[in-house]
Amino acid sequence: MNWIQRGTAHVLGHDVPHDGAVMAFDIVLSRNTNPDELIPHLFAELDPGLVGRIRSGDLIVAGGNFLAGKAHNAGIIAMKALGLGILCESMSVRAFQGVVALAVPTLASCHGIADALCDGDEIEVDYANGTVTRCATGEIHHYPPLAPEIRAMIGNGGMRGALLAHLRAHPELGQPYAE
Amino acid sequence: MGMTLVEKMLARASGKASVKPGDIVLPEPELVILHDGYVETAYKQLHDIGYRRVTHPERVVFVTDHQVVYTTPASILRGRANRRIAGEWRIGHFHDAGQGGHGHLFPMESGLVRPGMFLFAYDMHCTNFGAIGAFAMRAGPNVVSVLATGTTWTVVPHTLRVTLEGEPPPGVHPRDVGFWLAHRLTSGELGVEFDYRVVEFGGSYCDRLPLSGRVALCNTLTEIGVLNIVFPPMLPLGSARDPTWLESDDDARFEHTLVLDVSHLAPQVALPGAPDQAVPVDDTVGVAIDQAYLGSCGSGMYEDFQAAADVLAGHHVASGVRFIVVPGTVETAGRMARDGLTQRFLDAGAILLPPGCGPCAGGAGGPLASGEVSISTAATNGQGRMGAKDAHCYLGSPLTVAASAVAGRIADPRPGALRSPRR
Repeated sequence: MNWIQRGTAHVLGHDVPHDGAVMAFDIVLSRNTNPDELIPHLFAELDPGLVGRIRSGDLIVAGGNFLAGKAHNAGIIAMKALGLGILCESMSVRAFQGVVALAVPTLASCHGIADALCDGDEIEVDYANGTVTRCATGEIHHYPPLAPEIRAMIGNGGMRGALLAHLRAHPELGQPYAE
Repeated sequence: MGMTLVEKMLARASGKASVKPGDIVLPEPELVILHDGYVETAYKQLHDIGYRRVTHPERVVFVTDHQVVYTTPASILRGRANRRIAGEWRIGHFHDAGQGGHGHLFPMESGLVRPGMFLFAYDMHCTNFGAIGAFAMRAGPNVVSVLATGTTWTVVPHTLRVTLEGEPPPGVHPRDVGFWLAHRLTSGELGVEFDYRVVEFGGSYCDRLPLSGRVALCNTLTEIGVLNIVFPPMLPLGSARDPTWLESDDDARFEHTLVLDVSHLAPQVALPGAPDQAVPVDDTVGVAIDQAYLGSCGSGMYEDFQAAADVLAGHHVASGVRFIVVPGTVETAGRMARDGLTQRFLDAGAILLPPGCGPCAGGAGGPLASGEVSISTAATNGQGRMGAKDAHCYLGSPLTVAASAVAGRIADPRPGALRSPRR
């Protein structure tokens, strides 16, 4: 997996919850996991025009406690399908487990990043080294990198990758019980 | 260096002599609990990649509390699918609609969840089990990994010890203490980190609480982002201690210790938005309501209904107000019927729904229309939580909700404060 990502920064504020901001609560309750159906609703409660400005591979930049509240994952499914990365000042462990499970590359301890970057900045992120570069100015910001064991989980495809590996090691789990 | 109660439970479940905050561990649970709203999603994810069985089906518990009464064709199909999946996977503990009740409550009553037990659950309010000194870790969507492999990775949390002293005045309920403490934590007033921390309660106030009071505190703090809440072990009826129960060591590493006095606390109301947006009830008294709802995993135990019924005594629900009462469990509903509590609620004009989550699960059985106002004991009150997105959901204790149902507006439940015509 390439741990360097270049794209446009979409800067959000602090305490952006999953339910009611990243994804509407009624869509969360629908338990829909189809990314094609979720993507049009991504961030719609926060900024109805945002998803239209996002291009594949862009970076979501947020303040503290990104994906606050209930750690649902409909929005993360949509972000994964769009190939987005996340840079935020902080995120609960529950939310972090969610982004790792869906293999969304994330730097979750970027102190001050929401103020350091402007919406629309072209940036390059190196998740392994923890650097974020503003392409226009060459200015480099340093943050804690993604830990090797977390990179391994994301690189192996998150939870889905781990489950496939487990099934290969335990083929009996692929056999239905006899009637 | 000693360990906290939660560190001991995580170490034991992970097969380690000791753990410390920050360690990544793979604990093996004694139970895995999923509610009816997530069974199909989990099944589909595993089925799509080739799984036809789960690891340790005997440890898996399906509970039916979100949609107990089928009100749509989709809910009928969901119930049917859950039954099929329970059979296909040979699930060890399947509780269909009408069996058990709320999955964050009845497993404690029935003894399925016991003190000292480590378990995973899909839903975050599994923290209720901390009330008896069990540690249920919310797995969320990672519960699929637990079903398939028997575990999932997690990080050992720091523990914050909160000692509550004093006796609040009459009319103040443990939910009020929970709202107040949640606000003091999230406002930064107490100057401690709480995100992904375990709150371990102690102190003379906690020592006197019945299980329902402990549940109220566990439930109310959950929404602010703490990982878990635990009390020293107890059995549901507070009977004899077992010497094998785990407790924190005297030299355990608590990140912080807070000692708080609750003896001057007033009833609290959480403003629409989140349970930690608490203000003294006086700030909201007089707000007209359309609906009052008593129940949920935070206030669904017998003592909650008993306390609310005492507030109702001799009064009738205000004209134009829907007062919805949802016993948490089948056991509680039965006891309420046997003891006459059910009749008291019916006589007052309340609407009884079957045991389960009630309207807290997206408005099931009691949705709010656009612009309506409710006060409830729901677990949370985010925008759109109980129906229309522009409905206004206040939270209060069972006492405040009952007093408000009678008054037709948010009311102070303290003795002498209830102002409504008697029947």
